[in-house]
Amino acid sequence: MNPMGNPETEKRFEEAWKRWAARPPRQSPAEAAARVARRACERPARRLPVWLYPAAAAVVILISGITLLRIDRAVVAPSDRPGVQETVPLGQGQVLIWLDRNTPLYMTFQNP
Amino acid sequence: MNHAALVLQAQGGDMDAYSTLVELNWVRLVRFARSVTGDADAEDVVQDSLVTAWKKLGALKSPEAFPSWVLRIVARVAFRHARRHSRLTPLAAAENLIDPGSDRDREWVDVEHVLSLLPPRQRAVMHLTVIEGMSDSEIGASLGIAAASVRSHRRRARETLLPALRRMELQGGTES
Repeated sequence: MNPMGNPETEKRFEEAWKRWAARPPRQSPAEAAARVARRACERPARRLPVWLYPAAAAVVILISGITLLRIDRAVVAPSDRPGVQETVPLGQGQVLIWLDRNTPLYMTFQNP
Repeated sequence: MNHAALVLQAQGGDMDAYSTLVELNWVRLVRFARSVTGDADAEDVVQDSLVTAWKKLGALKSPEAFPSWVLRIVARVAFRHARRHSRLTPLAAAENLIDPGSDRDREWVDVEHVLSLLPPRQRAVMHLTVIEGMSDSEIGASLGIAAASVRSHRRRARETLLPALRRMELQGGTES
């Protein structure tokens, strides 16, 4: 194989490799052909349409968004909180967040 | 009936014709897969490849190219399999390269173990060179690589194999 190596050893290795490769397969060609034919004729497992995956993801995102919005509204809803009557009415760009049942946080957003 | 006629029939959906093609190529493909993946998984790899080949048979433009086309499919599946089930043995750890088989069928060298020292593509190139006696251009066409790459793979494979064979000589593995 290589002038640097022992040609005799390399030749013997190639001969051993040929003997190793030449052993008959465990399945005869006819058995193998029958197996391949059987597998080739199997109906592939029914797969869901490709568009279904993004559609399912969109539905999950939509439901999550709606749920988060409802939670946000519940947090700022003044009707079921004590001390609500004392809160200042919200003006333009103002947001009220209840940090806990008794602590309102007013934030005002303005354009720079 | 020759390969091309059988391929044309198989492309028309004739499973009997395809089964004949499988029978004609089975032994050659298993031998190739053995050298790339090892003995244990070779037949499964070839079977998977032949099922894939059946599904893609319509894409084969020239029916007479079936033997090299199917070999390329087997090579691709075998490379993927060999990468996933990498059993490469570092040279330093390759202490016992003498065949551990029974006395009756004992070979002077554990061929599979020696081959496992090579990356899958080099095993494929060496198999097609040593076992099939193919030319560089034929090997390149079968594996989908340039003839220059074939020579490069073969040179690197020999650079790896030589120290292993020398080590084996030092171990006394050359004694018959």
